[in-house]
Amino acid sequence: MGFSTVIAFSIIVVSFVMVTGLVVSVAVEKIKEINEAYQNERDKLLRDLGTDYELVNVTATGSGPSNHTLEVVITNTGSETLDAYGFTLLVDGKMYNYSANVTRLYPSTGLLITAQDIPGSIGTQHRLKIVSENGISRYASYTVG
Amino acid sequence: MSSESVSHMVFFIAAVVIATSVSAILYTAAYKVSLGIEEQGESFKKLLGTDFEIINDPTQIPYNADQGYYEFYIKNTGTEEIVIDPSVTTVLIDGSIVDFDSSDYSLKTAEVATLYVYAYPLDSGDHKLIVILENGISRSFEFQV
Repeated sequence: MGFSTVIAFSIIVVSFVMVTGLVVSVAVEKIKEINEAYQNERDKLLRDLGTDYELVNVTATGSGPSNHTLEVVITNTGSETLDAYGFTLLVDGKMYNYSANVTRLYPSTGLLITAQDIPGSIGTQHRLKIVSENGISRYASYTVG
Repeated sequence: MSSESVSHMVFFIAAVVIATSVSAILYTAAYKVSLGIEEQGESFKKLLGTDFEIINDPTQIPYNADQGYYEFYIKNTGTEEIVIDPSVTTVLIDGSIVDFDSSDYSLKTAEVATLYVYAYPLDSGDHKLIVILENGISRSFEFQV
């Protein structure tokens, strides 16, 4: 009787230790991942705070009877390096593709982006919006020359 | 003596069976708890890394009169991939759910999708668009037509 109780108690204790180990190991792993996600969020917040840029020059030249080519010079005035192809270019509310003269926009450097075949003849006025990879936007207006 | 041994044997087997059953129940419960922790942890991690912006120019929303849709641009500004699928994403204009389609159903960081939001031409004035993702994260966007 005493031996049976000891064996049963031992089985329960050993299994309890094993399942506690299972739960704790999974919990610890997830806590680590969540902590990592929090750190990524903190890094993202810092990147957002360090992101700043200006549209220093906007030039539009006619490229046909009803289209124009748009050139925008962007200067990175923040402390974060930006992806030159991470920007989104909107002209009069429509999104257009562009090409860039560099791939990375380092702090205190400039980037020239060129968008071609945008509707609008010489003399027409347009509104430009640029959005960076992390959602920070800048506006400008220009006239096609 | 023999009957005592038999009864001890019976007690022993019964004790082992009961202890094993208790261990099995304990293990099953712990396994379910660990699965729950894993799922909740994963979901929380995704929630932390999910972020997006509606990047349209609020004064110029493109409208395709032939197809009857407005174009809204969604940019993934988070660290997790987001899903823009009509079956799991909800879009509201001025509080009413509207049909939409997307140029891309899955967006990686810094990618942009065009949302084709089917609606009759809206009355002139201010309106509000709300996009709600499958995990409940939403962004609202006030615009003018």
